[in-house]
Amino acid sequence: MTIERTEVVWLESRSDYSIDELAALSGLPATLLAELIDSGALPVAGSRTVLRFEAESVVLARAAQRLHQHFDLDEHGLAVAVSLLRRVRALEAQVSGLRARSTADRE
Amino acid sequence: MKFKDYYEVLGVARDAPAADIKKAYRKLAHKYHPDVSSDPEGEAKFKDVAEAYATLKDDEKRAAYDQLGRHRPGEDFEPSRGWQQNFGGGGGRFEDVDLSDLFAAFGGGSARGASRGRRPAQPGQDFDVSAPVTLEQVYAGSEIEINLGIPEIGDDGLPHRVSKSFQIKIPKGAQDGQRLRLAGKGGASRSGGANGDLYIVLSVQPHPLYRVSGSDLYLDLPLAPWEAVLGASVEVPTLAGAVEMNIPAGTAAGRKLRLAKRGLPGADGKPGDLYAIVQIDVPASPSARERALYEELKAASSSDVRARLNAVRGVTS
Repeated sequence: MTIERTEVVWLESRSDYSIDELAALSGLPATLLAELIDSGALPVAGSRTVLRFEAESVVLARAAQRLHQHFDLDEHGLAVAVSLLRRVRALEAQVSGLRARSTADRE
Repeated sequence: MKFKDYYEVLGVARDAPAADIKKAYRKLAHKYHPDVSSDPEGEAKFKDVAEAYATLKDDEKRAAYDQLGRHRPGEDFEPSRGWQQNFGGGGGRFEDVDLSDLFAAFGGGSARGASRGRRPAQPGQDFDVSAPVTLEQVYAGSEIEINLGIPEIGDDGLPHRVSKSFQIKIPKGAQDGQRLRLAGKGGASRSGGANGDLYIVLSVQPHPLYRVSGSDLYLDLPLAPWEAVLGASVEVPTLAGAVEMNIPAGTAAGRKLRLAKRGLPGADGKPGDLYAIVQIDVPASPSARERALYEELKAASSSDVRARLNAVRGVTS
């Protein structure tokens, strides 16, 4: 067995991913990535002239690549799916926070 | 090599046309895809479904799969010499080869399918691995070891799983779902491209006492009725050890009592808080003496605990 010691990079430790990094990390074709950004499905952190992305966009873009690959979605379908996925994840985070703040179910 | 019945996984007949295979895959993908499904077993089920479809949707791979013959799922088998001559792997060691790796490699490397023409170099496969960690590990920061098998093409041209071990430092206050990228530590490219990446996704395990919201922790704190009425000093467990907490007299159920900076370390360096949510427990089977005292309390008490409820309903108590 090989044991490797690796310096690790937490995705969430950065909030300044460039569009080239986003493309490389997600594996999404440039046309699909452009559609996801133009439609607002992938949130942009920087200005429209200097695009920058938070780690959330990297995670979403990777999910978009999986959905594109596994469901053969075109760019419009993919943009809708990613927007909905983003809303679902935001709601899941809200529900999780509310559950934490309420008392646990007891018998 | 263990046999997997890809037709059975997709629920189609062995002579099913490609359209039926695609339809069956889409139905199952909608049901189990990890980005879509809420089924906790969905990810593992989808992996099987995607693996089966990746082979059966490709005419050349499907023909090669069909020629492996029929075996029981999970049965150990080795491709016939004729199969190896036709599709590759002649003289190789099949015992530790995974069928999915074999067909994923099909069409690249030494497999016969390489004759389908030159393709641009494809990067190796990315791997996403869930790493379960405890709240205590996240609180204190820790180092965990991740062991996994990654397919690599061996000298015999077959994809063998190589065991790899990674020591990962978990930073203090890491959050559930946080992702770690190990560049180039995924699968090797079979066409001269870059290695894939390895992503480790932290999964903070549910804790028997605490619930997590950001860097804050929430804990249910049971109080006896008299502690809630009279006030008390009670011991409250925190991740750094127990602390004494003063309960003010007249504490109602559901009240949140804050222990500042007793939560998780925050990413911005500011620690979260620990909130104790008061629950008032009643004795399950009071003794005769306790019952008598409660009867006395009932007679002596002038409190109207349902005053607001009755006021809204327009009922006078």
